[in-house]
Amino acid sequence: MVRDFTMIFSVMVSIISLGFAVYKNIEAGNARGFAYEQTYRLMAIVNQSAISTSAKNDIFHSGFSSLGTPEPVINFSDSSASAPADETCSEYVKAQCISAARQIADFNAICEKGNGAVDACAQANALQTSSLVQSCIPCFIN
Amino acid sequence: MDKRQIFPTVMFALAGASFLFGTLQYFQASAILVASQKRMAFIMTTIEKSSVARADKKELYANIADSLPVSPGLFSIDFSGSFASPAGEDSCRNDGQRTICRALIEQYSDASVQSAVCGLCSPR
Repeated sequence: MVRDFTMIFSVMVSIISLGFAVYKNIEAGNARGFAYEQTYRLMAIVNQSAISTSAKNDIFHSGFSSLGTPEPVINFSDSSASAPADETCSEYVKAQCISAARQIADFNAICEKGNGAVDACAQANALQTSSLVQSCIPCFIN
Repeated sequence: MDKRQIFPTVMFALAGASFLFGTLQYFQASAILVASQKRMAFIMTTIEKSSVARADKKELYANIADSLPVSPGLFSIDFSGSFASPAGEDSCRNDGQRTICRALIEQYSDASVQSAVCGLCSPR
């Protein structure tokens, strides 16, 4: 009797814990997708707005320079509100955008730590203003 | 070890590992959402402190609120409008503005920034 109870109890605890792990894994994936999609969409709106170029650059800089926290694991496909793709935003282009965002985040992290900061900060700035990153922004407009 | 103890031991080990993994994912998701709030608060403060005209700022805030993605929910199910939705009489324009204002409040942004971006919107 006690042995049967132990068997049943262990299976139940295991199933509940597995469910918890799966749910939290999905939740973390959604959070990652949400965080980066939110930034890109916001940048897209700023890019379309009728404000001066210098003001846009300030806002872009603040957006991209805060892209490095926490450790980025970017996955737009997990988002609950993924944007529809068009011809200029193929899966290949989106993969490049994700790679660029990850590189910016890495350079910003090094830049903030101060190890080889000058070079990393310059590379982060160069990437932020690159045509690739600028062309990524319209890919995340609804 | 008794052969009949092997199965429950494996099950409990699996449960422990799953629980640890789930807890790790919980902390990771929380960290990502907090970082997202910090980013939003930082960007909104930058916009508010910039030299952009007041009318353009208002239009920009409205466009941003309209375009932001909905916050992730339980298995991507939208609970807005259900009894469990946090939205009530909070005078917010939409979920986008609610997300921004919650970020500004939780990151203790300037009162002037909160007032300009949120107006009467004060999400719970």
